[in-house]
Amino acid sequence: MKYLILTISFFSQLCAGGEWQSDPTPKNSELSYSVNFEQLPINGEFKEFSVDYIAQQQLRVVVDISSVDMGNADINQAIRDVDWFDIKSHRQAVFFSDEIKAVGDNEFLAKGRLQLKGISQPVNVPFSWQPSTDSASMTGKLTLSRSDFAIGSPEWASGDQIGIDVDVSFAVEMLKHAPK
Amino acid sequence: MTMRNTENHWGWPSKLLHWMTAVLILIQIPLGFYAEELKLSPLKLDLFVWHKSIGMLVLLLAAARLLWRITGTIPKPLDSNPIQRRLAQLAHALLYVLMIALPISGWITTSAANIPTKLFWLIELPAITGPDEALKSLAAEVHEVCVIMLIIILIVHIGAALRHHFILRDSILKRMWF
Repeated sequence: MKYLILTISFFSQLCAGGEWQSDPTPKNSELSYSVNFEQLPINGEFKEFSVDYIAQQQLRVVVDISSVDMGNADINQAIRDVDWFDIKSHRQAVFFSDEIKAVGDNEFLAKGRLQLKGISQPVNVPFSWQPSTDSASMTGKLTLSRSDFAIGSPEWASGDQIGIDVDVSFAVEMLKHAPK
Repeated sequence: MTMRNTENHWGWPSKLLHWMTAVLILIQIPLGFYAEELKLSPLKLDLFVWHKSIGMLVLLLAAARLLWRITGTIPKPLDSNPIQRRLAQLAHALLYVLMIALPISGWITTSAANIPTKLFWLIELPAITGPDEALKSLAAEVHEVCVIMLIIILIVHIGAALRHHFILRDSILKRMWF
């Protein structure tokens, strides 16, 4: 009887939320950004990243910065340099939530910290969560300041040529962890 | 000053367009080489905005001049030698081809490179092709070959004008002036 209750409580927890992980297939999950280049937006994306989510408890995002692509060979080379992402020293960026708040129907806010280029800053990630049977779609948008993370050497500090604000957006297909 | 060209005179629109283009091209060529040589910096990006803006202006002026030429007439050449007349015509035709080919190959380069452009930081230049690395390299090479040709023909063009003015002492340079 005790085991039955435990089992039921375990499964009910799974149904209520449970643990989720991003689908690594690139076409199903996207993490992209847009930044001004001489006053017009150009786009970039991170081809490799993973999202782990424990429903309404914890969000963890790990981004392989070296997978960045801005659709131009010269720019792709330049942004890997020490002035920008400095991927030799800082290959990964990690967001880890301290708290998940429900802010509306299927709308949440993950408050936490983003570690990027070796600098940790408080960041709030708003996201909407649309579950279906055994997958869910997680989408959201936020604006980061590249200067908070020392991205762009001092000569680029004015933001006149390359904007300071970076609009990040994500649309991730989340898969439920199979019960072990 | 007359507006339309006649058999012996250039009208003021032709003169104005000629000298505006001349000034722009003389800025544009060193600007392009200098910006290309710079290492990546805010200055380099700004200079390329200027380079693309001036280039599109040259294209616009070339189109206006062609239209003006086609719908009107141009003064008769002053060369007595038919071969020299032919060569002058060929040089002028090539100058027009290059005033169009250079901006367009540059436009293709920036479009294929996936770089957006706001001319003079005011007017968005639409992309004429999608991102394409191979096309970008090809267009950039065409751009380079064209600018070398332009430099050579400009030397001939300016040299011939000076020869007419100082050695042959005819009115060819004067009639292009105001």
